[in-house]
Amino acid sequence: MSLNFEDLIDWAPIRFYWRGSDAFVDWCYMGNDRFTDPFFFDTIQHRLALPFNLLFRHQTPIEFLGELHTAGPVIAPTGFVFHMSRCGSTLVSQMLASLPSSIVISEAPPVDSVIDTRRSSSADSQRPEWLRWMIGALGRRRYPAERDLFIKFDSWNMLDLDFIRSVFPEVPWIFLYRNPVEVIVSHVRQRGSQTIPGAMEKLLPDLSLIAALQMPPEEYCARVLAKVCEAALEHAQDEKALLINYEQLPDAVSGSIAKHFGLSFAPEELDQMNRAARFDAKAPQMMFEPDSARKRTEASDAAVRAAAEWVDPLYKQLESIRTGF
Amino acid sequence: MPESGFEEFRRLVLDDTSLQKDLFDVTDRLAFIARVVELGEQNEYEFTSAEVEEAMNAARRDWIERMI
Repeated sequence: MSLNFEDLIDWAPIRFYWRGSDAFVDWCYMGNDRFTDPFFFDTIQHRLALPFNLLFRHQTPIEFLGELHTAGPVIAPTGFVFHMSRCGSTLVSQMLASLPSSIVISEAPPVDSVIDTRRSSSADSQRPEWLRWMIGALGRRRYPAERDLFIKFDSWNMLDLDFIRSVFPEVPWIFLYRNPVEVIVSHVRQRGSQTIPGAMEKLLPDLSLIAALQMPPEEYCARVLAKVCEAALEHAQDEKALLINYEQLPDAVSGSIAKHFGLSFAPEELDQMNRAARFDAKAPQMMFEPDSARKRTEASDAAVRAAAEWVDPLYKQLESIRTGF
Repeated sequence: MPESGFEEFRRLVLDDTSLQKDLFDVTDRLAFIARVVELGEQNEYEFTSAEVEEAMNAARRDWIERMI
């Protein structure tokens, strides 16, 4: 079988995996779909509901991504979005994704898998190339209007920033964060995978599973959030960094974030993004309702204590750097 | 003389964009299975609708297991 750029222009890499010692990629036919759902996984789930995509998926060695990378138009990343989770990052990505000029890849498992593979293989030297290829494959220009590529990483990828920046030193990035109590309340209400004890040991490697399970959920969440915020603080002075508080949204998307990413929007694009901001980013069929006050009101004593002990000091430092006070 | 069974036909489809285009937009499961069998016959591959259905079920199980 001989594939080329054009054969796979409407296909997307959806999974990175190993066959023995060889790295492979699974592909899914996208048709006319763009990645406009809140998360990469949502779009892929819709696609895999189609009979064709269940039966017919290309599987290629990862080196094939390298061939694609040089064979056709690939948009270089415009900006990276990092975040502490539950802090408005999906609002940012949904506003950007509302523009036909944007390709927005939001928390894509194949990107995270390539980043994470260093922990499970001896393929360290190839990893930078693989990440560049994977993001390149997702950033192939399929429509003439497409101009910008944004990657929203998983929150835990903040711990991988050194590696990501070494591959893409030229790409500006933002880190989004929010009042820690509000984030903890959100996680306690519905856990993210990173706040389930034992699900992602790399985040808190010094904590045993038994200790994690015995801990109040609020404290476990707080420790994970602290780890992510610590990583952000370590890099907060990076010349390509911009700190954004949830409170600055949605205006910051067309303001400081756009400026940081070197973007300028036409009036109709601003209208388009503002329309997107009116809806709940994670459930776009519903209107957005501010919930910060409600979250603070419903916060348990345990949530308030955990935030104060583990995350508030880091939040204050981030705020201090952001505001200059 | 048939070319062979469903797995061989699956490889043919992945190698042939015109066959892909024929199948992309068939969203109804039963109509899709019927079209796959029909295209298989036209290209001298021999397999049944039950085999196609089982391959789809296996693919769905595989995807769900990988996501857990």
